Amino acid sequence: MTDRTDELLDNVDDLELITSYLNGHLDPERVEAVRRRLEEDATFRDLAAPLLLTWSVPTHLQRNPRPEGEWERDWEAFTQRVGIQEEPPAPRRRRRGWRYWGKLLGAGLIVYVLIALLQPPIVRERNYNDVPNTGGWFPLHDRIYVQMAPGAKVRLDWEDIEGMKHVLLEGSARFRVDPLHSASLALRPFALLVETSAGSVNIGEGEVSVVALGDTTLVQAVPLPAIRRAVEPELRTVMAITTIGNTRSGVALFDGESARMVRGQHAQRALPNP
Amino acid sequence: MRLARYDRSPEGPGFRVREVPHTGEVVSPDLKAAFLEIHQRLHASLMDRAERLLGREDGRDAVGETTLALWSQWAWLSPEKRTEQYVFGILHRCIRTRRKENRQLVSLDEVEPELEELAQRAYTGPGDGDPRADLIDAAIAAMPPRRREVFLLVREQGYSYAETAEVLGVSIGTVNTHMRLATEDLRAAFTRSGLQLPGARPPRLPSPKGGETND
Repeated sequence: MTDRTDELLDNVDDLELITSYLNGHLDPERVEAVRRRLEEDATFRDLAAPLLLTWSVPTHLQRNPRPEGEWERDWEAFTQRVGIQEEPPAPRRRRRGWRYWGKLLGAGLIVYVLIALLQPPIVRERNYNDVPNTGGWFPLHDRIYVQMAPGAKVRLDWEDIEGMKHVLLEGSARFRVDPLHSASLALRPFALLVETSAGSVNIGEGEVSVVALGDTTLVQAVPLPAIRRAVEPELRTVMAITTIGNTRSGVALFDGESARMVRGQHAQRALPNP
Repeated sequence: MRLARYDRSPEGPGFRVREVPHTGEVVSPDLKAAFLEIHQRLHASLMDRAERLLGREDGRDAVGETTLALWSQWAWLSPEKRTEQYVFGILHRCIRTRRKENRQLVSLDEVEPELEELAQRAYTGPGDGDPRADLIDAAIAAMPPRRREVFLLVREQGYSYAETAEVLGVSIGTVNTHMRLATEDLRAAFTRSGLQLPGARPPRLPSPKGGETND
């Protein structure tokens, strides 16, 4: 190692100080100190001389600027190679005021009403089975039976309507619904719906005679056994219902009572036979 | 997007940028904007540096690899790591990898004297530009690679010794040593060319009255 190198090694910190000074990394106070040393310290000035000269000329990049459009070309090539796809900007969500929601609700109500008024009634396609006329009681269900008069026609719906067995009747027939022993007195749902051309007859329990002739139907609740009447004297288990326009007209029958139903007219209770 | 695989080579971590897949990434506009900003800001410096260290073609390729490597990590880099020094660090590793792969290159350390002589010969006198600048470029081109890398970071990028050490993955003492040697290279080049160094004062002459004067 030469004397020159030894001298340099001793001044390593000075070299870093000079480069920091030239690169503008020093605070003003230290900058002033370096300037003063360069003026007064010949050794320090000699050490800094090559760097001072080098830093006195513009940098290589300043003297040789990159070709115009080089960055744009390189960026284009890069994006094509990488296949950068920007996420589409998220749509700006507008805050909707109460007026908007009010209008929307109103429009919805109008549309609902229009649909309800204009839409034709939904007619469910139903499937029926003809009930054979055996002359005796024929079971429609575990506690529902029918006894048809000669020439009568009963068709049993495959599906129940509101929990009731549903039959269509042409002619005369007698229906029997045995009591539902498990049911409480308060809950006594209808079990059978007999539909004729005049209206419909809902039967909760007991025997009911129904005669359907053309547009007229006669309904008679067969008197309940005496013991049953004694327990529940006001029991009405039969309802004769007709439809007039959009309204329904019904008559509840006590045992032994009768009713007449004509299509398009109110159901009327018939006077008991003397 | 997948992370770049780190190369656990004996010489430390590096990026095998050619193995990083890049296909149809969907990125957020903010992420892309930040990348575009740093790429645009550093592109010229990276190109200049890479070309001076590797030559025109290899330099351009190295910058391309640097860009890809940076992009492959970009989404996972914390904002404080998205610095110039980090980008130059990637470029440094790309340059080193490319040097290793290029078998045509001879170790510059072995031919340092010849290169220095060639560089000095290339400086034949004042050209179109500043003759001092040409001399400095020639002297830098003649430096061994590592010394040149250190000197260019300090001179061209204006980095401190600590920043230079961080970029190159060496100690500050190593940077000190390379800077000292680079300064000596420059001094020798200036001396050989007969260029007057700034601040060099004429020898002190004795005054007629026995005092000393600088004039």
